[in-house]
Amino acid sequence: MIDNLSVLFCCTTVIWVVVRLVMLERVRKRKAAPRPGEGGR
Amino acid sequence: MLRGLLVLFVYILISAYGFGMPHLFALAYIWTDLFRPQGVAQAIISGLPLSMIFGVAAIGAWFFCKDKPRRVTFGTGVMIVWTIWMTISTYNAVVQDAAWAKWDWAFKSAVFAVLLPYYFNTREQIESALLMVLIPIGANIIAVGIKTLMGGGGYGMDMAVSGNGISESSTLAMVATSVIPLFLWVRNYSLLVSPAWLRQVMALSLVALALVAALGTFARTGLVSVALLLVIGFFRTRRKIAYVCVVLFLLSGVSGFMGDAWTERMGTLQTAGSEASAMGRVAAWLWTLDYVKEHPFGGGFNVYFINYFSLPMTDGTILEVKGKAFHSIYFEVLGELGIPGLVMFLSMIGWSITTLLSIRRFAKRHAELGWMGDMATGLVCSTFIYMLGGAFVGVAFQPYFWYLFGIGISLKHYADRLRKQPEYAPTKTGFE
Repeated sequence: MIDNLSVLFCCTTVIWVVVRLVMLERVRKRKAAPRPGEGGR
Repeated sequence: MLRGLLVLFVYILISAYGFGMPHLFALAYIWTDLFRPQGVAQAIISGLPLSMIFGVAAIGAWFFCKDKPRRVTFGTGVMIVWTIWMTISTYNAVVQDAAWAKWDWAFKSAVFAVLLPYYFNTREQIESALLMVLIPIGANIIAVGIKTLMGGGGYGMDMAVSGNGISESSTLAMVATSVIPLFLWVRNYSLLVSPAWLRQVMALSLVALALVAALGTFARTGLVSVALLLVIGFFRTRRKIAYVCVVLFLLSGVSGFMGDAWTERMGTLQTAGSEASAMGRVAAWLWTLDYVKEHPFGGGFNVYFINYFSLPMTDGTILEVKGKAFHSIYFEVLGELGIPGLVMFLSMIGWSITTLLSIRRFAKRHAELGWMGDMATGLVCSTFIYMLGGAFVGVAFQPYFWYLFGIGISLKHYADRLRKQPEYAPTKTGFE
């Protein structure tokens, strides 16, 4: 029961983080001007 | 079955997006390496070499990652030499089979610590890497913390759910304590864990459960690590009197809650000089010093298999130890990789702390970089706890610490890029 809760936490949080990361990166790509310091050379 | 489906869904999701965002494969590798999902979901994914699949995918993805930093930092440079050195010493190892078995995972951790900073270039990406380290540790903290609350914990009990090198009692106690500053960072700054109320609830619950888990393992390393965390907290907080009152209030309840068995075990810290377990470690350390005098380049991985030492005890008896593990990151590195290995190990840790403190000073001058300064501070606190707790646990090559080390380098690359921007360039009177 407790182990199931731990696995559920681990997997759902990873799913949530990955989805959020993908969303934020897409928003970033849409913005014409990148934030200072990021990805610039 | 359901666990298997859930884990499978994680991999399908990452693979679906990974071809557009290659760094996701690196995240998958970190998560797989630290959590070992095969251990919790035998159905469906059993037999799949997930670490190898996502390790290969992550290395392939490395070539497709854009905007990789071009500089090789001192820390990365030493890490590369350390990786080569551990391979050379394994060729010359005393206990060949055991040495190669350890090299297999230690080498992978080291290689990934070298590569990791080149995957994650933005704030969100660096945070995602940090979360992939914290989530598997958090899952084990939840399991051990709740089991302790329900049953009182105990030494040597297998309460963790799954994990690579973090599920052993003393190690888990130290790791659980060392990630508390990073959970607090997530609480204050995370962009990926949202909404804010969920972030607060999750982070604070994990901090509370981490403390319970660290004490619930009955490992003395946990108590030492928590003590250091409390000292760090005292120096970091502005409300020192309130902090001391809260800590004293909580400490007064800990002994009563954990029971006599816990109090008795922690009491052995005062009589360590006559206790066989503690003195067995001292004997293994003394053997290591003698061994390195004759073999300054170390004996290769798992050389402790051949140790033998007789130590006179305070009660007049002779304690004999044979094949006793190092139980210390410093003696582990010294015995296995010799003096050059220890010099590299300490210089990497020293460089990491110095660099993170420099990032903290830089971030302090810019209000919008609070997240960066506090992440650097969190990583430094985590490293200090690893250095103290690690003095009693042999976890020098475990991946968790080296991933945090790599995240620190990612943060340095990020800070270096910012420093080149006119608005963040150092002023003439500025000190950094």
